[in-house]
Amino acid sequence: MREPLFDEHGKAKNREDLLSVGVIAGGKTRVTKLSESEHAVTERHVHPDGKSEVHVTLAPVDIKGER
Amino acid sequence: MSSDPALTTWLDILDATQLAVAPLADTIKVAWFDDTVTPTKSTDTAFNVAPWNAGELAGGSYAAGGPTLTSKTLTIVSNRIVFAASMPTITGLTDTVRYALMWDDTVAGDRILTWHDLGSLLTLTGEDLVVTAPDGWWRIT
Repeated sequence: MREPLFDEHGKAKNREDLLSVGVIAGGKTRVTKLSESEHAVTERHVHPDGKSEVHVTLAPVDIKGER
Repeated sequence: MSSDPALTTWLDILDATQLAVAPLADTIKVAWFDDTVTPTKSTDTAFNVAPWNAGELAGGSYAAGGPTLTSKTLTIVSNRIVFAASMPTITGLTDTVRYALMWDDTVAGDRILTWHDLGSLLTLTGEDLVVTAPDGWWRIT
């Protein structure tokens, strides 16, 4: 059974446990650019709790006639 | 490769075919594919039709055909018609992706509208895929 995260005074007992459940932030999210094209930028975001996400930001595709 | 509109679909919308694509009313999905796909904007027609019939993403919360777009809008911005929408995050992926294919799951034939090329093959390892298009997915200029 897991130990309580806080003692009877409400004080955190173990910082690593609090980090693991996201109660507190253990620092900044690390962002690494993975690729960039004309219409997309991709980045990896690693959060202080270790969770990793890949973020894709898209630019609109143009539907247009030739000029 | 590049990001492009599927010209056959747009032609059928505009010509005598009068393909009834209604982006706000229809179920619009975004399917994800790896780099085994070789898109051709003048001939590609539909989801599940070559080349968009192999190399699709799998696993995690991804369902075949891809997530359905939400919060869709069509507006005029800076003299362009802009289609904007939100895509739900796909969670728990261990796979590779390169292309995001937008297609209409309401019109007959599962016609495709556009695709985005990420520029290179992207590898995910037990990760979430978070996608935004702050300036829209496509625009008519």
